[in-house]
Amino acid sequence: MRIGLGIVAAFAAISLGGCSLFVGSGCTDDKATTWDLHEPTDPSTTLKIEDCRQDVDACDVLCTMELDANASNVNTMTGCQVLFDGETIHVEVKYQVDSNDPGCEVLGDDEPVPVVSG
Amino acid sequence: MKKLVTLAPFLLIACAPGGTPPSDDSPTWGVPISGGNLLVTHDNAHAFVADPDRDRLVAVDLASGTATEIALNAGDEPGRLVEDAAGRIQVALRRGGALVTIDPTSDAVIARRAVCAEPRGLAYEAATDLIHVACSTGELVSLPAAGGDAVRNVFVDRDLRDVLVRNGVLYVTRFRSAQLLQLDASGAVAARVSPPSVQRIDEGGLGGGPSAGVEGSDGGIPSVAANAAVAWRTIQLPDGRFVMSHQRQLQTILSTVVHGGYGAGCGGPVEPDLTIIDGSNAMTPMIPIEGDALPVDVAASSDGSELAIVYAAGQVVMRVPMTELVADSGSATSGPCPDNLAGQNPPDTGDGGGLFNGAPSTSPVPSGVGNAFTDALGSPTSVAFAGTSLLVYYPELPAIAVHRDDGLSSVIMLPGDVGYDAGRKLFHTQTPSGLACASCHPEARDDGLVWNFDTEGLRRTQNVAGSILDRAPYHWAGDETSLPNLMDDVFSNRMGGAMPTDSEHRALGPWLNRVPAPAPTADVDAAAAARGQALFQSTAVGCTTCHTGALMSTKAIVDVGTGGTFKVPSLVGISGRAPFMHTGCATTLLDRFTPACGGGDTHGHTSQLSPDQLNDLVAYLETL
Repeated sequence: MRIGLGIVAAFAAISLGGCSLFVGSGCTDDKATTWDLHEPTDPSTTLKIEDCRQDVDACDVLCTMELDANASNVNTMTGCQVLFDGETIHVEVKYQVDSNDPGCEVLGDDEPVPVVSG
Repeated sequence: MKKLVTLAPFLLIACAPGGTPPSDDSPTWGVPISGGNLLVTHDNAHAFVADPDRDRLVAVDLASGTATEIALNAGDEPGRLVEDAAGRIQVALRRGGALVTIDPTSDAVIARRAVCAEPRGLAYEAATDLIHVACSTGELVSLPAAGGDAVRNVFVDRDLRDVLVRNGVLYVTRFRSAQLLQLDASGAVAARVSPPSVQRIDEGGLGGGPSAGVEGSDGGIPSVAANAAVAWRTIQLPDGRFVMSHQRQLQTILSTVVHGGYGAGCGGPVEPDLTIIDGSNAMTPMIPIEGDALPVDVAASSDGSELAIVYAAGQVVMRVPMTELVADSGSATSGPCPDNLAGQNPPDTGDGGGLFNGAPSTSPVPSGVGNAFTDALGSPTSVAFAGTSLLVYYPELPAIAVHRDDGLSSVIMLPGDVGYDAGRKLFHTQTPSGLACASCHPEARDDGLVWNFDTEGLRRTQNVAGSILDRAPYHWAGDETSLPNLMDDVFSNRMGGAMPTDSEHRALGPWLNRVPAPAPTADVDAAAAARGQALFQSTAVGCTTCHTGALMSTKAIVDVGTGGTFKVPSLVGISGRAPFMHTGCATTLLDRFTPACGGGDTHGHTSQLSPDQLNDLVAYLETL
């Protein structure tokens, strides 16, 4: 039986405060979104939840799964925090999305970069 | 997107453990993956799982999904299973050293018979109603299926794996060498064959390192030999032929200094393969159909038209019609490509793949045959057909995925908590080199192979089983001061994997430390061993100057005339890890005492010993 509140967090090198979207480098926007999972979940998700519950370093897999399933145009995941609240698991993911700013162009590796003129 | 999966109405969700934070003293979970832990009964009504990670068996009613747990002793580590004519399930206890018999109606253990130190493969011979047990320690033990003492116990060779019966003739495989031994009526080896070497196009030097390729005869394409090794599983097809799921070692040069120097992508130094063996023991290697690591189990459909293979490290299942298998002609071909070129991450678990996330994955299959997919349920270790359905066992959840021939799939959750250990997970994680730690250290031991390194020359794979935490420093020269240092260098730098996490750094050592060293050889002459022990401990011979204590090693770094300074290796379990010495120059323990290989009298003082005394010394070493 699970009681209380547990927090497991895994942060990438770039950790950003707040959850609102704001302009990052000019070619990527920083976002933070929380998805709630409710147990029981499907077996694949259960495996990732339990791995994360036992090992903070394993939480990235859960965050990545949620990000892949629910967000588009993702450039980089920059933060991952998982909060266990009874049968609800809050998966908070910070990530960058491509801004599609007309001032940015995409090079061969699909990484948008500012266009430098002059 | 089309939903391919239906949740079975009998789905049982395992209770999740409480939310305890990880800590340094968390208990380790699970054992090294061996594969081949799933049996479907002949009537296709039940499945039995040998769960070595939880020391139990699980009986599953496939119609209802009801699972019944059958407890075993702690540390039993159940492995292979076989059904006899009476429907009893016979299970080898890999570490428990016994054969247990399960009643098919009550699911109760009705017999437990000691067999040998390390039981591995099982076969049932209907004509004699015998269960044959192959042991890693060398014995082949035959017991009446209904119960009672063994009727025969013959020593065959070390490192036995699977047992097969064909037309009244017994065959056994050897694990690391991938040999098939045909036995005569007395149990003596009548024939010994190995999958032939094949050629792979040299990719120009692994990881940017120097190439070992030689110009081939067919148009001058540089190629390297790919030799058979590590026979994870060998089964019999309905037509009587055998199929062996094994690895190959590419004879190339590995770089220890270039990042990813063990190779990347297609053409990595270890590849999975299948070899078909016909009734005359002719071995036909197949063009590899999948590039993922650890092909730990293979199953054939009841009509023999289809094979299924599971790749534990790649977390991939491959289904391939027999008609699509292509014999390797011997000319150089490209190696198979790992499915998971991204390295650390398991196959896509988003909406592009996975049992509960949409369509099967679109993993690359170089030769375009078969159907590779992932269930996204962890590492598959076992596979079996139940009629036209394919069953795949996933130990971490634990669960059995059921893939029906109408395309629908479901999951039967087995009782028990989700199992997780960061060390175990890392050990079986595929890197961009196509390698997992367990590729060269199968079952957390060693592959018995010698590798050619750019900076060091020839080095035999070291065995990591047996008190690993007490054996620092590591590697032949003792240049890796700690396991975390070794992990960073080998897993991340050489294999090209992600840098191990703090959890992995902490967990791998304690997890590996639970794996015991290989057991001594079974058929040692006790009197000879006693004489050998006296020699070993004598000051005149001088072995105990360095080989002493519980590890039989002072761990000093010394020069014993073998071409450099090396850490004194532990001798515990040494007879289970041929070849010997850092270059593998000694095929047998006796070979170590030749001056050219063993260092002569700089490495102990043995030149004065007679051949009989050397044999006594070897007998003693075989008891360690």
